[in-house]
Amino acid sequence: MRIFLILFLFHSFLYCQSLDNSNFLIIEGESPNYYYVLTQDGYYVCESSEKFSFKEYSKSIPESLNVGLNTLLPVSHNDKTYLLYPGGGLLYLFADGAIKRIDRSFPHRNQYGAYFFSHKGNLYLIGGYGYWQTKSIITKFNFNSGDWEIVTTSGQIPKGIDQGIFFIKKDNLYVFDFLTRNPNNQKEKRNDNLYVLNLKSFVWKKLGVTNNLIRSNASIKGAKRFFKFNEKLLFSYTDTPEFFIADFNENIVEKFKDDALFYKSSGHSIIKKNNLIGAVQNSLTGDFRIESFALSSLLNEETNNQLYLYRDTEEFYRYIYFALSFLTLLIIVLSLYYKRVAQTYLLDEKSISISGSLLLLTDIEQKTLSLFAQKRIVSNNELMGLFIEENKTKDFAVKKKNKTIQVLNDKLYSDFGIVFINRQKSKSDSRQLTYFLNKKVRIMDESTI
Amino acid sequence: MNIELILIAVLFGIIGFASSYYLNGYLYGAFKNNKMYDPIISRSSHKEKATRSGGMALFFTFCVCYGFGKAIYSMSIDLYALIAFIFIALTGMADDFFSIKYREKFFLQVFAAIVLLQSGIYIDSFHGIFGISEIPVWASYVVSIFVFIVIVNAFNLIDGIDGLAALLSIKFFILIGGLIAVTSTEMNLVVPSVVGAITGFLFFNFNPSKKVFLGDTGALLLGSVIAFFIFYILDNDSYIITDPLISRPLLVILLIIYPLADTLRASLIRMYKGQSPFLADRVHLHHRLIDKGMSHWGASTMILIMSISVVILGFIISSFFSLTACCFIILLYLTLLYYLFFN
Repeated sequence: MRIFLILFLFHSFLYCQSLDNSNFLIIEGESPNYYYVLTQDGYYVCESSEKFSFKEYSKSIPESLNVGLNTLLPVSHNDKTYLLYPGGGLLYLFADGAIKRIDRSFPHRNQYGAYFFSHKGNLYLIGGYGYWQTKSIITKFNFNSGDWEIVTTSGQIPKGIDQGIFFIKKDNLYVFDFLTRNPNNQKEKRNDNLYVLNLKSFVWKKLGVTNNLIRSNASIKGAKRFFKFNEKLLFSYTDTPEFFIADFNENIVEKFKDDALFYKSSGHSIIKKNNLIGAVQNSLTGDFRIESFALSSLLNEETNNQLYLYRDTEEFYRYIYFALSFLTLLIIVLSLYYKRVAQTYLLDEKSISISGSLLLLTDIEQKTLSLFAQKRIVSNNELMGLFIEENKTKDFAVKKKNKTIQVLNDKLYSDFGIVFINRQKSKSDSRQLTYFLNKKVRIMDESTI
Repeated sequence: MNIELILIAVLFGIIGFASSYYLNGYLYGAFKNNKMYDPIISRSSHKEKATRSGGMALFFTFCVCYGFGKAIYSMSIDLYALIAFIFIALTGMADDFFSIKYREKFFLQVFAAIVLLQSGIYIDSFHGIFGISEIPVWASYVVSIFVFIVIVNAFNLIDGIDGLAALLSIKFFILIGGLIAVTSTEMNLVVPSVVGAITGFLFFNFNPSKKVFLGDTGALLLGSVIAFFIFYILDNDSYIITDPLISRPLLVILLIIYPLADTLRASLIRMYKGQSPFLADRVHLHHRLIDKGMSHWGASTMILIMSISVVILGFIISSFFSLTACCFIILLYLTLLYYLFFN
């Protein structure tokens, strides 16, 4: 792994430019062949070969630009690079070797951590944090008036978008993994949903919950890196070398680890000709070097780590099939259970009952059934014990027993529709009788409990 | 679907079932030892000795599952919603033990509804019904409190025969689970836990030798949790994946069609007779099935299957017809079911 990393780093060092402090900004430039590194004194023109040259600004930096260059939000628009003052408001254009202010606005300080982007001839700033509130507003720069205008949106508008991950494809702006602060106590809460804003109609729509496997608990406050690359979104969090490539059309996200990419994509980076260009700080000298990483290598990698990006209707339908199957299974299991317990009759001192039906019993009937509650097969002798009386013949007892069982069986059949007690002759001695309880019947004797 | 999520859901279903099964058995024994049986009166559909400990067992099972969910997964329900559930469960327990008056119970339910609204999840839109979408906050509060009272009491009223309220609650939670699973990472384990808990209870509810009833604790608790999820669906901020398929208010009505229809019918009959709509009697649809000679299990499963068929019909026709036409077709279908099975 280490050898691979060294080779990889060596391979990807297209060239390096050393900078002595962090106050610089890498911007894309007009041509795909070169990019700029803006510093306080001048700027470097860096070509994709090993050529770079330093030039001084043709005009001095405007006084209003009183913050570090690295805090500006750059965006390429109509082959020009615009730089936005942190928090919104002041807008600068880098053109003809100079940084010029082009707005007639003021420092808004209303949208820190917002996303600055261009779409179809317009510059937009979305979300951010300012004046103790997270914002979900979208503001558009008016090139005629030089001021910013609020764009009215509708639909399922998220409540505040701070430090989110953004991706533009066609007329859709996808937003996810952003923070919303409670204005009362400033407590941050991460929004786990994927939202999409249609940039034609400006209607918000919630697409679903993002895969929790792409969200790291530790990264709630960690700055994120995200880049548009090959019509996909490449993103990661600062605290881990895990990267994700999201395909919004296919609802797929691929996970992979890359230490070199992690190392080189810290801070502000740009993508130029499938190369990620970023600044890396030397931990010994403190100097920064501009380094490059060939992203095309990622296209050839097979990660086998495909996950769904957000849960969608397909997931929902799968769930519904599962739910209906589960419900059916539950009904079957409960039905079988009910069949088993349904023939459990409760016997008390005076009656036998089952789910709402109750039959009053005589004393001798109760005792007879109580005997069957204790064991399912009762010998004739045991049963006779209930009927033998002093001063009465055995024949009387037999007749009484037979009549009692006959009457009891008839009563039970008419009320519950089932014959309770059957009798059988013994196989060894046909004169011996055995009484047994119907297999489907179970008697719980509550009078003895 | 994510395998890990399925396994965790199954685990919570098992935890819910096992806890509920154990607690129902344990509480049944405790109630029995103290001879705390449900009194058998003229309106009773049972003749066996039964305890009203099911609701308590469900409540404790929810607590166990929530504790596990919070400890090992990101399970979370808004604190105000939890307070409202606990409050309503305590109200139910008080009613089970001391039989509190209806008016007092009503005010306690209103209080629980007000607490629940503090969670920020309530009905803030009619979603196009009567041409109304978003409504003012005060109207949201009034409508939400009214809906809460109706749902909670509707589930309490249908708890008249074995398994009915529990089976209809299971149906609700299982169907709602899909919406929650794709919407909320915090609440997606609530559904398997609740379904497991109710299933565990059902094994006692249908057992004649250890019969356990939900009691007011269980019926009110289930009703309030269901009301909370209905607020969640009708809250404009919630993402509901079925929006392109079916109108949210229609979906909600279909999910609880039996409790709503039965309560509405019973109230209308009582008012027609000049009686209080809150009078306890045997005019409910499920009593009709029992009086026809059906077993409790038969009547409960029949109503369950019918109510599932109404939801399926609603989903199918919503793809082809307007909302008004859908309501009309569903009304026709319900009338047909009534004349076929309940008349």
